[in-house]
Amino acid sequence: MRYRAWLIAVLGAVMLFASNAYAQVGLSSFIQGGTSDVTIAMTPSSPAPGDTVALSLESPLIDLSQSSVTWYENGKVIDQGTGDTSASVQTGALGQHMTVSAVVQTPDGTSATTQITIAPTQIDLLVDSDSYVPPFYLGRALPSAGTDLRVQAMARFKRADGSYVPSSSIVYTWKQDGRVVGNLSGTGKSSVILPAAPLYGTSEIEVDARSTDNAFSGVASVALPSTQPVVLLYQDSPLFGVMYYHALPETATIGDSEMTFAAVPYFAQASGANDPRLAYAWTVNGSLIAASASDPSEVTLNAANSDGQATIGLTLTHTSIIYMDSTGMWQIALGPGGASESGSAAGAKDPFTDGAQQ
Amino acid sequence: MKNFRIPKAISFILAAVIILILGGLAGWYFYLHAQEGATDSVDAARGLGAAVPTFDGTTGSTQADQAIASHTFGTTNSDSSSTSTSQLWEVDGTPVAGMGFVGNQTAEYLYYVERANGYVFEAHPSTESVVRLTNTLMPKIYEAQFADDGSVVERAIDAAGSVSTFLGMISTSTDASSTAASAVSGSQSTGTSSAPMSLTGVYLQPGIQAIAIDPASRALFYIVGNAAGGINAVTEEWNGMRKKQVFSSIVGSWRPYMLADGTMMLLESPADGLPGYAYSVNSAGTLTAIASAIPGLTILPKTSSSILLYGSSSGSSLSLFGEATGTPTLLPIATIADKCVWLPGSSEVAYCAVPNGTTPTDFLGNWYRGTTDTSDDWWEIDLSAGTSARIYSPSADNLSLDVEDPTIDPSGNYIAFRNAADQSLWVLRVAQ
Repeated sequence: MRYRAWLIAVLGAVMLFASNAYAQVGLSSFIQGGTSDVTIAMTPSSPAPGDTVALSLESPLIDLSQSSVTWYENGKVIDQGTGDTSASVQTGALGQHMTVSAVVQTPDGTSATTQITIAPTQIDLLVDSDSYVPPFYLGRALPSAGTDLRVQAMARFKRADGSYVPSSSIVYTWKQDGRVVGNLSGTGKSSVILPAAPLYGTSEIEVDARSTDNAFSGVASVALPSTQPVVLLYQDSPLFGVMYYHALPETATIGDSEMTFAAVPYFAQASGANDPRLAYAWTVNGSLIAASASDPSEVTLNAANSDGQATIGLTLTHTSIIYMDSTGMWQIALGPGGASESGSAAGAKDPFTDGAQQ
Repeated sequence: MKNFRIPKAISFILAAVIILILGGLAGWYFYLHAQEGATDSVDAARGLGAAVPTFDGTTGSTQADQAIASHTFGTTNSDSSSTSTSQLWEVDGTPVAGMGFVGNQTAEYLYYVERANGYVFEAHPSTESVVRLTNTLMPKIYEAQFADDGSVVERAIDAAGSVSTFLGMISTSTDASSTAASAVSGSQSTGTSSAPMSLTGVYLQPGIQAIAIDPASRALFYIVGNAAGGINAVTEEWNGMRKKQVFSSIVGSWRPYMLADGTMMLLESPADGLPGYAYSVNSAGTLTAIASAIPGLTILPKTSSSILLYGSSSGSSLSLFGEATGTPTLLPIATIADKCVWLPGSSEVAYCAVPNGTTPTDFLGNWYRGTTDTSDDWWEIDLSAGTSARIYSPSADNLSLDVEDPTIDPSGNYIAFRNAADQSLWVLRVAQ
């Protein structure tokens, strides 16, 4: 008998601990209160403003299916019924804290009450890459193999008084591909630099942010595929500069008899188009053209004394990224007559073997 | 007296030396001659042998000197008070760096900068005439923005490859070397000046990635790289006073916005399919989210209003939303916010250029890189009435226009925009 009493006491303690532990796991954005008899769990665990939150009532000690349950939102009844263990609420704006309570009345007259406070939080996970994009490019620098991801978490934990928890009072735990990046995590560490995924891979970045007083928390994640660098060719006009607004298609006609062409290695690991780590291999009508040491990303063609037809080939490699190998081929017709011609005439004089300049 | 005789062997040697010298000189002559011919050929190919241009366009406009005429298209406008009969006007056929309406509702001008020379021009949509205002050569201007008073921000790439940002004002004193300006497109000028003036100003620090100007106060809001590899967002008065860093981030891809009411906004640069965020920024540097986690986010805020148009690009899908009361509404047109402009005033009307047909996958990135062009129709959207209607189709005039950077005059009568395909400048008369 004495043994059974001890067993019941131990089991009760374990269940009580379990219920409290569940309440901790179920900590949403901000939860206060609750009794050990019943607990409220909610999904999502870190609701954002305007989210619909599913609430469920659980108890290790009370048979809820036979009990009368009444749900309150900020003191107003939102749901009630026998065995009604679930309800839902919609969060308000940031800073609008909501109190949800549940009152349980068992058939034998025992009552239990639990209450949580939900404060929506928001974590924005902003990310780009240190890959190369040209000046005035309006899009984002995307990651490619060998580049770094630049990630910033902007956690907005708004208190009921309208103030925000400063970033210096938030603990950030960063994960990449499921592994905690311990050396980059910690209090106030709202931004990180992480290596991008290998070619054709995807990086899964996740941050868990929690205020130092544990009053607020939130999780955000983003998946970032590594892209293949894109090499595009533009005219570098003596009048208009590099004409970034019009990438040359595979076949193009240029009215001028001489033109400089600029290759732009979008999203490559480089500080600029002429980064010394980039190796440009230019060909004109099949002949290799030695790249200029000072401006290897550009090539100048002169169509004097020729029919103006040129096939420009470009292979771009990286000295430290062996799998970066971007190629392009463009059929260009230069000169006043170029616009009226299409394709190289058979037996036409090759004008560019000697005429190509760097 | 004994005759001095040169030994026969030495005579032969001297003769041989002289012959060799003469031969060498002859060879050197022919070699130089051949090299000169090659050099002339190359110079001719580079245009060095071309005749000096006559500049008989008289204004120094790239457009005039390339003899590209302005064109008008479209049907007669229903506005009987208008002096113009065209709905679409090609203002400048050469690449334009930027434009903005200057003046007030009683006297409106479209100022713009030619990309080739950095000259400021004044266009008059009602008379379809153009006057050059400045004669200060600023070659290869990639971007230009205007304040309401005609102050201009011109941006280029300097010799070191860094972006330069010039804050210019049109001088009020006539340059003695200037000649009287005349209309580029042949119509008479009703301009505010009679002769091109110099453009004077100062350069901001190099390397500014992106900049926005408050058209009313000329305050500047710009993004510049920092030592940590990220960026700082900085505000500064036009005169260089009150420079202040309001935000910094390790993320380097941002677009600043500054509205006429002083509102500052930041948009994380768009990327197809990746979540984008936009914030309003106050002077203390506090960010308030206005759009969160929208794939391929582009935005168009409205001055003195919380109304927002925002676009989403993901895969091959484009969506445009209007948000007037906090709840976004999916609009029945597939375009991006970059192709839209708000009608000034308190209405909830916007004009958007909508691509015809399907757009390619990852449209935003391809469009920004110049690998794809669209053929757009103009639509009017009224958020409060929940209506949308096509107002002009360039294809009716056998035109294909890829609208970018649209701007509207204060009275809401004219929309100026560039054709992204060639950066030419156009004005659409909005039917009232």
